[in-house]
Amino acid sequence: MSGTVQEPGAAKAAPGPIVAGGMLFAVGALLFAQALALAGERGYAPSGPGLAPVIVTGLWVLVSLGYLAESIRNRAVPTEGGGSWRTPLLLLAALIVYALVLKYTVTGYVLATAAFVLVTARTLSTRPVREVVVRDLAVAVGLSVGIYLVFTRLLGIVLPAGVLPL
Amino acid sequence: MSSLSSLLDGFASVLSPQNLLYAAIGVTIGTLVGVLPGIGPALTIALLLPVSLQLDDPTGTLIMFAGIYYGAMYGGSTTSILLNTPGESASVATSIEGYQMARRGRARAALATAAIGSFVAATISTVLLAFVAKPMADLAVTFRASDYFALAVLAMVTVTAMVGASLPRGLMSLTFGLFLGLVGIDSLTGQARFTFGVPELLDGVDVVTVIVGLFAIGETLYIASRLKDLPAKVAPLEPVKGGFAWLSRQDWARSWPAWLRGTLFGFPFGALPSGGAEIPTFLSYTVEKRRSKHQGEWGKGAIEGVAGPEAANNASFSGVLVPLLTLGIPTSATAAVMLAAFGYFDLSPGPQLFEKSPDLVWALIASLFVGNVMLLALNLPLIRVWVKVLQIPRPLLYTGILVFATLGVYAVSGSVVDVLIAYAIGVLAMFMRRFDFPIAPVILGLILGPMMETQFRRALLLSDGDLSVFVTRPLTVTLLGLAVVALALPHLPKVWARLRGGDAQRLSFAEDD
Amino acid sequence: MLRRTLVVAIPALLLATTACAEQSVGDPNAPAGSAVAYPAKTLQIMAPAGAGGGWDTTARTMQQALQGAGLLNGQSAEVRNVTGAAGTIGLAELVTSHKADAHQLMVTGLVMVGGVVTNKSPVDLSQTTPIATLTAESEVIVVKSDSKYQTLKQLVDDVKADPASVKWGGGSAGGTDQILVGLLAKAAGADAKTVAKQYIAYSGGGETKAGLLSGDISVAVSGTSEFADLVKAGTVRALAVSSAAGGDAGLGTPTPSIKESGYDLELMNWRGVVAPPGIGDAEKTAVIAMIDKLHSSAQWQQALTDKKWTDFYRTGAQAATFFADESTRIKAVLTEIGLG
Repeated sequence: MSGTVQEPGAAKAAPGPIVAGGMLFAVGALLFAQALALAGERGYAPSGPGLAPVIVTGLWVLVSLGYLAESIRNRAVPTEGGGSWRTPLLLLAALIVYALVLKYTVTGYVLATAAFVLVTARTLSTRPVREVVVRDLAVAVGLSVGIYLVFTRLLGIVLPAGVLPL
Repeated sequence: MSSLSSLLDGFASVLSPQNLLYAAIGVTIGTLVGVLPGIGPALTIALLLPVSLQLDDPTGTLIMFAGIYYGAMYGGSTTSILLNTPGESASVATSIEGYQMARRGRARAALATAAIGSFVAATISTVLLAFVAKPMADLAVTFRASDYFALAVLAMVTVTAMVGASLPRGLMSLTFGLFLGLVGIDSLTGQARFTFGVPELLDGVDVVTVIVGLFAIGETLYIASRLKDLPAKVAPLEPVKGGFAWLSRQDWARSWPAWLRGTLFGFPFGALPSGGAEIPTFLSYTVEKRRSKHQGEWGKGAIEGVAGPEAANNASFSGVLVPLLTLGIPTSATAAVMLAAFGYFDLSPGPQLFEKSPDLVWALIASLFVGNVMLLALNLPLIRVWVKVLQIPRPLLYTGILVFATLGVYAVSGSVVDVLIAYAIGVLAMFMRRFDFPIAPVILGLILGPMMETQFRRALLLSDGDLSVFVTRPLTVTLLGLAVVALALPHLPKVWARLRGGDAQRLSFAEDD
Repeated sequence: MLRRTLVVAIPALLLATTACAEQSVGDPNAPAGSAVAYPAKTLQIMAPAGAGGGWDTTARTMQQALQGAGLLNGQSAEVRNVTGAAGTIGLAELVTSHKADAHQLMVTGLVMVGGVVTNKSPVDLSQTTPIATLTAESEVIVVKSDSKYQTLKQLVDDVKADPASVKWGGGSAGGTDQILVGLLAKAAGADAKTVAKQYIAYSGGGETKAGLLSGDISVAVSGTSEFADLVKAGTVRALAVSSAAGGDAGLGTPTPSIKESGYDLELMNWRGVVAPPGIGDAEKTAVIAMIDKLHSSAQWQQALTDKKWTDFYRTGAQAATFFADESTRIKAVLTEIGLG
């Protein structure tokens, strides 16, 4: 597939628009196939559930081809600097761990959130730990305890209490 | 009951201490999120939904949400003028001349014309709303499925016609939204579509989940990918050093016609499907520039360039409420979340809303007046406070956004799967920002797609499969005809400009958040 | 430095906490025989739908009445929302993650019985421990006031003559309203499948009303409370209610029931409570005893009046039989109209 073509200037970490276009096309094709299977089962009747998925995913495939064409036409134009993918990946990992810890462990909202705030603020910060650690700690504790108390005591929304005797 | 007496009843209800408090909370939060980067009115309302449900007061909650919408506009104009960083797209036009005024030591005049202009525009357009809403609702009672389908087509066409710089990217965003709208149980037949065996997907993807993913998670991940370009702190800017006059006599004279013209652009464009605030603000900017007797000042801080777009911006909100309240059709991302909020309270906007909950509707409309008075009082004197807000360290701000985003989804659904879906959409949104895809069409596709499909199929089921139902009803035909006009309309300025030999500025559809 | 520490610390924390989680699961071998002190810890009431809906309101009303009447043995009660798929997501969670935990109750109802069938849910109500049914709302069949139909019989006669001639409208596909249409067609001896095909699903009461008033549909089916104001205003006419005996549909005078109109059919949109599977008899008795006291408490009775809920109370074996019977007949009718 043409999606594997690398634009000359984009040998950095970031994938270029052509790769993105190729992936969009591939995903679109998969979804289109699924839509066809559904329509095969339920029919293409305009009043039935089968037609709209075929139209939308078909449109997806066409538009992704249009985008791919646009990207190839513009490939000489340098895209903005690649940016780093390390920080977003770390953030995403932190988010997923946070959600799983909240749901599947007895850590509780306050501890999990405080830990998440510390990790995330550190990941996003460019300043040395020493300068901001006290501030970050204060925000972590304040935010997590504050949210927990407001939600559970004032609003009656249940958040996992966890191991802390709150 | 006439609109006027209903409106007076609305005032009576809004002026209760509790509702005044809701309005005050709303405009304060709204101004705050308008000033802050990375968080806009749509996201804020989405995150406040679980909280508001516990309050069990639909009227108060909706008054608060309307306050957030308005407040965010005021907040957005503040940052546009002082920092040249429009917090939302509708403020982009304001920032062009507004920032120049601030650089030349006329920040206070710019802020004043923006605030007073917003107030004037909001007042006039709310009166218009009050008088248009009821007749519109009465008309909407007669709307049949085929008419709603034609309306959805009209809305969809205007969205696609204004998808921004690149047609493929705009359409891709829209298509993604349409696809998200397909996920789940088909409402008419119970058939599951694109659920990939995940039971949590049977109900479809909730608009709150999508908004949290697109805006909160997506924006934060994107910022994280370009951390090096991000200043650790906002440049300390303190333009409001003493000795400023408010508006001079000449400023007033130049501002008020621009306010009125801006209002006239804002209201109808807001009321049109997919109107939103971007088009009228830029239209107002263009018209003011063309009419101005002070051509030499443009680009160096012409006050009309602030007065007009800000008025248009605020007037558009009352316009947005017309189709939202009378037809249940949202024309912007924020309106889409407000529609969801109605749904959570088991209220369906549409003609029945005026019959079933007139108190709520009129209190909401009256609250717009009250909210604007509050904003006027809140913004000009407290401008230093809002500038301070901008100095929240970015790492903590974005961390906070992630915490509230996770909480918002988790508290609504109690499901970790929904949280993970929001994260996944956030990852996609990060790439969308990276490759310059517009975000707002995703939400409009998510809302309008199912509306269009459902009404189309309902109309066919009702006519026993006879397609002529779409060409025999005069109202349906008229609306479909308007859709054709809307398809051609955005190209008219280009054609016009080319005929006059000038430069074409294409109307474009940008972020609504 | 800090980052590396955290990378190590988080998985460790995770392990430690999951270990705790396993220990804290309720003890299935609770002392049998003698009366159990119940609840012995915080009572969790799950509303398997979003905040604001009927199940959520039921759960929160239970919570308030239990606390108000002091029935919690000094403990407290919490309400949790688990949204999705007509409650079957919450049902799956109750059955799989809370096995044998008598402190996890879940609100349920007719909609979930239908949802299990239409969503092809792998778990169903028979896998729970039935506790009680609590409330119910009758359905109403309405037409516009200028409609030619004055009685249910006239309508049904037309439907029997030509099933495609009448367009029905109501809530989502496979929900209570469509179930009623299917059951009515069956009871009247009409072609249920064709009749169900004439059913247009709307996303809520407001949309259904708009569809009826604009003339899109000729008959609307909904909960009685939804159309009461329009019936009272004379905009629509109630042809029949679905309770056993006739009832008030908004006029203040009783509207005849479907049964009284000559069709052997009764359908209530009921709500009840279930507990997870694997609960010991003593604990089950204790839960039922608590719900019994809840039902007779002044707080609950007041809530019934305030919220215009019909009392629909049955417990234990009676409730179990009811759940089973409803599941059988709903599954049958949904399968017949092609939604099963």
